[in-house]
Amino acid sequence: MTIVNVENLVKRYSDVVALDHFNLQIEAGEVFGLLGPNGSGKTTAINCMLQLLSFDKGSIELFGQPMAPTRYDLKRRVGVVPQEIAVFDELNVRENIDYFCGLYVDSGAERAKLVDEAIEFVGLQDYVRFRPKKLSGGLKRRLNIACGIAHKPELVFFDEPTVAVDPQSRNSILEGILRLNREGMTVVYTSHYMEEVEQICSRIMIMDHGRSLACGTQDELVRMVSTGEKVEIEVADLSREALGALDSLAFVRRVEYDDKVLKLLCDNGPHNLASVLGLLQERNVAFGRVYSEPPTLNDVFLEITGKELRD
Amino acid sequence: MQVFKTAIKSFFRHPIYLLVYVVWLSCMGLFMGMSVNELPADEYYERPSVAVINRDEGELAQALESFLLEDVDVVELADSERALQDAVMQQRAHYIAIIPEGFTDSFLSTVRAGDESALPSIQTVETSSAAAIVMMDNLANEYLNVARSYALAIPDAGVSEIVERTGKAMGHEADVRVVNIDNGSSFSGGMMLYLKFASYTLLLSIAVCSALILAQFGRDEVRKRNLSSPLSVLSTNLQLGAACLVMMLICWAFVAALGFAVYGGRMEGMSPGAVTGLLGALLCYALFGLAFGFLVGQMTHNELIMNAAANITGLVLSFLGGAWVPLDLVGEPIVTLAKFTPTYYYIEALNSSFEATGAALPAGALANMGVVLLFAMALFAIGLAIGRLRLARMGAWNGSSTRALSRPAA
Repeated sequence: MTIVNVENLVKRYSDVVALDHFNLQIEAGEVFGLLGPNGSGKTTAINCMLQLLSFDKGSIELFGQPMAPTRYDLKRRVGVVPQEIAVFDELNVRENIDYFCGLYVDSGAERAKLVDEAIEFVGLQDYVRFRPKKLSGGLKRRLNIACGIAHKPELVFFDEPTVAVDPQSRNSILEGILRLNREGMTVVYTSHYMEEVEQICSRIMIMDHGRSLACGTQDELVRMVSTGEKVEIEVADLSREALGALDSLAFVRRVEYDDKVLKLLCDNGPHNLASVLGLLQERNVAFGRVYSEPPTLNDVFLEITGKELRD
Repeated sequence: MQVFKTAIKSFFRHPIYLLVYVVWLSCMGLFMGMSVNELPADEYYERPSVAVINRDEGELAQALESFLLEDVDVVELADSERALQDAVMQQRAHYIAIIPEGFTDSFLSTVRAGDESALPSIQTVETSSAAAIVMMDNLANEYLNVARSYALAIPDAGVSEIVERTGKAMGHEADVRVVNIDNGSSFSGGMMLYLKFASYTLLLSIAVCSALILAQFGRDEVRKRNLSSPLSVLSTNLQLGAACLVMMLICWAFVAALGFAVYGGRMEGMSPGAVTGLLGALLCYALFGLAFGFLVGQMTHNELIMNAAANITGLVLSFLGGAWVPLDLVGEPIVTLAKFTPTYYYIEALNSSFEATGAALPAGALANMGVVLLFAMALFAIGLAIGRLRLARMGAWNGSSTRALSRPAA
């Protein structure tokens, strides 16, 4: 079942096109990653889906129904964890979670149970009476998450929830998101951290300048690009002639030899490594350790957008 | 009611504002009011210091001396030029009467001879123009006029008889009773000062607290979270409005209750209309404070700026309105400027309310309260416009937009 269906979404801020005929389909049960550099339109896309922003063109459907600012029935099924910490400084941890959960759940008894579960889920049991100012950055992020998921939504938007978080808290957050997914929540996860998206997302969309550049599973994305494996070989001595021979191989896109390490960037192909090693043996070039690495999401991103992910 | 409860909770989580702006400032106004010198009319009597130098041994002169020295602070003065100069210089006596030698005989003979132009007089020195001193002079003249009347009316009466009759006549006292008329005139001046000062207290406390509540919910991140929830914008705004209103009523009730509790004992003669008018004027000004807080809350979420804006505006408005300095003492340009401030009309409403004699409010008080409310409405409208403008700039749905539904893909 398609949970999110966005078609031809256009959003302009004066002359700047934040979303340019943006399309997105997310199926139930997915952990969907929106990957893009800062300013690529990820947050704008989420805000439009949540009807926090008006848009110039296009359509948005959630749970198979048109989404609108007044579709409170649909909003009730959605949770959001914004990029910034969105809590009240005057309320303590428990009161904050209770407030945001109370926007969705009227029953006090049911809410109390859900709040307890959310506190336990994010591991803030020891801090329930703390006000946000007393919490560390990581704990605040956990509180931010608890406020967004306490009412057990069917669809949760996580907008860069790990920005400025230490590695330990980041792992904890990512594991938590996977757990939520296992419990049945569909997750939309935006980030500009490649490794996070690789770690948790079942499908990924790469976007930049408000456009969807590629979408699929990680394997599908890797297959979409011509970048193949990266080969590194320790070579004590390599003649210019041998280097030229390597460079002339059809599948080699780039070759470098520096500090006794030979680096080759190859196109996709089944026997790249064997061919390279065969050539070195033919020319009696002695070599030591050999490393071969398949293309990463970073390579995909680099090839698609022509640039590194900005931080 | 989540928003309402949380807003009220937020309000009470800032006890320092309540203590400083509501309690402390109210107490300050109270102390200022208490510093006003208020003595009940029946307890008031200014005793002048009087000296009489009597150079006549006659019976009339002695009687006049005794009369002048009744109910005054008697100052003993030597009958010398130097002593008189010193007394005047040092203001030891406010009123000095000198009865010349042979005054009694000369007075009676001249009166009975019908030669008014030769009538002897007593010399007087007045070192002050206070009412009590003028009164002393009037009393001395009156005594001699009465004595003259008896001397003319009873030609064969001796000095003793004239003195006795004059003493009796002057001893008559009118039966005076102090009555509080229902026009509020007996009402405490201290309360008036307290209520004027309350313009600052109310504006500051209500504006800062309401701006703070609105800012909590107006922060972009929290606002987005609220907007993405099933709670409607209308419901959120209504709950926020209700919370601000409750907070305003708490501040208003505290300020009013404190004033009436402290000065209530001196309000016996006040009409119900006057009391209603005072409370109404306070309430109108509190609403103005709320509108100002709404405006500030739309413009900034920074606590420091909120405090600065409310403090500076409160001080300026209170000064211009006449809360600190009576407008009679300032120049015409300031008075003209004051008429563009709500505080001016608030204080006018207070003054009009004091004059209420019955259960009904004077029309002047109602009109002035209306002007204060108009100021409040104007600020509220500006605040709304700023809020809308900000949302429009962000490209956000504004809650009442007609573009509520997603459009079909082109």
